[in-house]
Amino acid sequence: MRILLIEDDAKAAANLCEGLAPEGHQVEVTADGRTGLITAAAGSFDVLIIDRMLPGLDGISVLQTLRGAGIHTPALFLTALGGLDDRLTGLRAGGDDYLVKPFAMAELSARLAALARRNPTPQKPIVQQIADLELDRSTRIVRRAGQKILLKPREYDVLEYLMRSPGQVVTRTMLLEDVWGFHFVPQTSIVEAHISRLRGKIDSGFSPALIHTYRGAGYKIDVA
Amino acid sequence: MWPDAPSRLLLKNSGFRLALRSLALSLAGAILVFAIIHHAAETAWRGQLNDAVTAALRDILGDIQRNQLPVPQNVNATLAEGGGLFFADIGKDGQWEAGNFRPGPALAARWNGLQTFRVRARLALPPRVQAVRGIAHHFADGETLIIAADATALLSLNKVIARSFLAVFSIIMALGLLNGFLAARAAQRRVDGFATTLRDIMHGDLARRIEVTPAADEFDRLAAGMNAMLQRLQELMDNLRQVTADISHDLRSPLARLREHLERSRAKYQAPALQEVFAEALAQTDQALDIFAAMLRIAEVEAGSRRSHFTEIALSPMLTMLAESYEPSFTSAGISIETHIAPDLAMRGDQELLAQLFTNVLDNIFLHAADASAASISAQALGQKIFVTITDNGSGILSEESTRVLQRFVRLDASRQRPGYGLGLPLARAIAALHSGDIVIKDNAPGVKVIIGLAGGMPI
Repeated sequence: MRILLIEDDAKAAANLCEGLAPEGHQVEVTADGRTGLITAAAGSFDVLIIDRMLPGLDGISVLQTLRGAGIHTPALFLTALGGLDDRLTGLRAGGDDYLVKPFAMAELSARLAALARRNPTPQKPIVQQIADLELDRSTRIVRRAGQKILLKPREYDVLEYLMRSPGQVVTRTMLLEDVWGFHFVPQTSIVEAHISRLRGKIDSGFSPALIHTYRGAGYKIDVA
Repeated sequence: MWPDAPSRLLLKNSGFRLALRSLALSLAGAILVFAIIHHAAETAWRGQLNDAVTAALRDILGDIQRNQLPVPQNVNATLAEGGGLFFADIGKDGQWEAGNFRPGPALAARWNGLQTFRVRARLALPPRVQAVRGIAHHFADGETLIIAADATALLSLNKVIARSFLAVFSIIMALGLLNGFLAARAAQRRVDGFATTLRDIMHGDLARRIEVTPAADEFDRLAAGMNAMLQRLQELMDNLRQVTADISHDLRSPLARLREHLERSRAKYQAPALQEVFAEALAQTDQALDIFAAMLRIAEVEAGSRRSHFTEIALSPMLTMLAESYEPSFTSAGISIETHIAPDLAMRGDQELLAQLFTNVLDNIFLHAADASAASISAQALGQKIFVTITDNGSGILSEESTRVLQRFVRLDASRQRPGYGLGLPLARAIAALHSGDIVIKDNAPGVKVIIGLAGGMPI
C-alpha cells in the first residue's frame, strides 16, 4: 500500500514509518502542509495520513483543498485533539477516519487496511459466502452449512462488518464506532461478549472455526 | 399541594401583598373620612332640628304665660300660624287634646327632653314622615306638650352617606385590586425572568445573563449585581475548566510519546521478563491517558458548546439497542436485564453523549454491583421530561454516599479493587446537565436505582 504521511513531528513520523514498514507499506513523508498538498495532488497514493496540526497549512485545510480539487484518496486524520467537536471537524473536512494519539500500531494498521478497501468502494455483494457460511444482506438471513442461524440485530451487524473484509483484522474500537456508533470505549466488554455469542452461534458445532481473535489487535473472519 | 393555584401564587407575591396593604390602608382612611362626615352632618342637622323645636316650645310657653289660656288653644293658634312642625297636647289622663299628630300616652310618658323616634305607627303624621325629632314638655299638672320636627332627612342622610361610602369603597377596592394585580404581574414577570435565567445557568449555560431594563428600578439594580456576580463566577469557572483542560491536554502529549516509545520498545526487546514490564507500563500509561481523556470530555461537556449540535434523538430505540448490547455481557456475569421502555420517546440532544451517559450507568452495574442478579432499564415521559431509570439488585450503596459518587474521583471503598477512576458518573451527570436534566441515585432495596431526568421530552 502506498501511503502519504503528512506529519511535522520527525520523531513521530519515524516511529510510524518503522511501525508500518513491516506490514509491507511504502510510506512517503512530508513535514508541512503545503508540500503535503502538492505531493498528495501529484502522486497516486492508496491512503493519506494527515496530522491535524501542521506548520504553514493545517491538516484540515490540506484535505479540504484536496477534496475541492476532486482528489478523493481515502484520508485518515491523526491528531492529539480528541475532543468531540474535533472529530466532527475532521470528518466534515472530508476525512474518512479519525484516530486520536496515542494509538496502538495494530489499530492504525487495521484502519488503514479498511480505508484502502474503500477505494474504489467495492459493491458489497448481496449474498456473501465464506466457506459454508452465507450472509444475505437483503434479508439479513445467515446460514451455516445450509442451516439457518438466528442472530440478534447487533450480532448480525458485527458479523456483517467482519464479512466486509474477510481476512482483515477489525479492531474493537472499529466495531464500537461502526456498529454501535460509540466513539468511546465502554467499561463493559460488550464487543467481546458479542463476538463470543457470535462464535457460539456460527462456529460451535461447525468446522472450520471462522472467527479468529488476535489478542491486543482485534478480530477477523477467515477460512484459516 | 396546589403550587400553581393563582390565588396562592398572588398571595405569595410581595408586590400584590404590598398593594393589598395599601388598599387596606386606603379603605381604613375612607371609613374614617366618612365617619367624620357622617358625624358632622348629623350633628348639624340635629342641631337645626333642636333649635327649631326648642324655639317653638319657647314661643308657645311664652304665649301660654302671657294669655293664660289652656294649652290646646295655644297649640291650635300656633298650628294656624303654620310652620311645618308637629304638635301634640296630651292631657293628664293620657287623652290627646290637640295638635296635628297623635302620639299614644305611653310614648308621651316616655318622651323626655329632646329625642328622635322612627315613625312606626302612623300617629296621624303625613306619609312622607318616617322619623321625628322633638321635645316633650311635661307641665306640673301632668299635661304633656310635644313639639316635633320632621327628621326623615336624618335617616336619609345616613342612607346617602352609606350609599356614597359603598360606591367609594367599591371603587377603591376595585382600583386597589387592579393595582395589586398589575403590580404583582409586573413583579412576577421580572422574578420569572430571574428564575428562568438562573435555571438555565444551573443547567450549565453559564453565559446567560438576567435582562436589565432601562427603568433602572430595584429589580434592575439587583439584576446588575447578580450579572456582575455571574460574570465573575463564569470567569472563575472558565479559568478552572481551562486549567483542567490545559493540564489534561498538555500531559497527554508527553504521555502519548511515552506510550509510543513503550510500544516500540516492546516490539524491539522480546525477552519475556521485559515483555511483562512493558505490558504493565503500557497498561499504566493507558490508564493515565484514559483519566485525562475522561477529564477533557467532562470539561468539554460542561462547556456546553455541544448544545449547538443537538438533533432530534429517538430515545426508545437507543435504549432498546443499549439493553440488547449489554445483554450478552450481563448474562455472562449472571445478571438478567429487562426493559420497560415507553415507545416513541424522543428529545433534542446529542446522540453519542446520551449513549455514553447510559453506558456509564450500565458499566457501573457491570463493574460495581456486587451480587447483582437482575438489572432493568425503564423509560417514560412525565410532562416535559423523560425519566430513564436504571436499576440493579446488587449490594447497593449507603444513602449518604449516593450524592458523593456523582463527584469526580470519588471511589467508594468497596470498589477500590475494581477498575475505574471515579469519572463515569460525573461525566454522566455533566451530560444530563447538558440536556437540562439531572441524575438522582436512590436505594433500590436491594441495589441501586439511578434516575436520569432529561428535559425536552416530547413524543414524536
